[in-house]
Amino acid sequence: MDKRKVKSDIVQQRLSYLQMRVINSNSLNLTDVNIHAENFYRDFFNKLGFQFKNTNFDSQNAAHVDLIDPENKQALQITAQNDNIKISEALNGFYKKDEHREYKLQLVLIGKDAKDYTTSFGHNFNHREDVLDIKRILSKIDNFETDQISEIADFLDNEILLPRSVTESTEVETIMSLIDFLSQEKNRVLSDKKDNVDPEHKIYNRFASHATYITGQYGSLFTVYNTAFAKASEKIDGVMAILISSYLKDESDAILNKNNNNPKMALGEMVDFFYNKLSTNGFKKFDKQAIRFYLLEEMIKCNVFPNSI
Amino acid sequence: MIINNNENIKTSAVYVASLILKEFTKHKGKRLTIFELSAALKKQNIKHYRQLFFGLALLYGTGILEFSEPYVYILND
Repeated sequence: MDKRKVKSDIVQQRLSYLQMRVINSNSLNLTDVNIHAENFYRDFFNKLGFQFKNTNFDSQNAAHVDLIDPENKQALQITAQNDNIKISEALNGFYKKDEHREYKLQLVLIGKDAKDYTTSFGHNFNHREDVLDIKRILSKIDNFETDQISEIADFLDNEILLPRSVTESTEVETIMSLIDFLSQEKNRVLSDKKDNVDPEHKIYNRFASHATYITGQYGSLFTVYNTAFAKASEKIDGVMAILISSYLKDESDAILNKNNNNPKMALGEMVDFFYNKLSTNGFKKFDKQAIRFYLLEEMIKCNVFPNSI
Repeated sequence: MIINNNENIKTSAVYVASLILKEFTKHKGKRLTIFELSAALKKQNIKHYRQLFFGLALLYGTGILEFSEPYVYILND
């Protein structure tokens, strides 16, 4: 169900974006996007099981049809105009040719929506079904099976490049995503273990043989990641802080035990664990060192590898 | 525990609640809209809705505030 929603959203976003681009470009008399749209919609409808060819590549260039599928006897006129005159002209012009008699012509409105036409168009043309605007195309796709929606979504994702949204730098995004992941409220039972917040004791006594490694790592990462950490931490509130602390205390303790109390190995395993978690939940490239810095920062606060009392 | 040792004091519910009360004092009134409060807190670097929410929840829970959409009322002077 989640996959269906994600993929349907992609289809909806991409087609709506293309539609608005056509509307806005045409309002400025810029019609180059319409020309590219013909080939785009050829490939798009071919994903839905047709075998359309662009008639522009045909020597007998048909004036009232853009895409034709001789196999399924289907023809499409791709247009940004939604008035009844345009539809009548397309139908009359198309069916004038004898070889088109067996074809079904449909109009694809790439910009404006279809109207509730009162004109009788003839040629067995039912405007409610044969004029396809973006809303009607979306509602047809909505009834498809998830795998088919997914295939269409992947195609649209490849073909239509949305303007890149303003994002934070990778290190800030990494820490923000990590904070989001750690503070998910998934019926987590809060840890009630008592601990002793004493970073000096932890680093210089408990992990004495690794103290140089820990302080060295923190020192070298601090200059690079401290600003990102401060920025990403702005959004933490009291409830998130409790959830994060509880999650890290439990998990880090288990991982430390697994690694025979070796903080270097345990830290490495935790970095890999969170890196993999974040990577499978999204598609972005995350910054491993930012995760390491975050965990070292939490180690100082005694949320990672807590000292027991 | 009113402030968690892992949270930033400047975004804690207690601190946000104090900023909300300061805003009421500044306006010398008993009533502010949620939008006025949100705009005022933004200037103090409280940008996330949950931080505002927890500040308001603390004041509501202690009987200092009451809500009547879109206004927030002070009950006690």
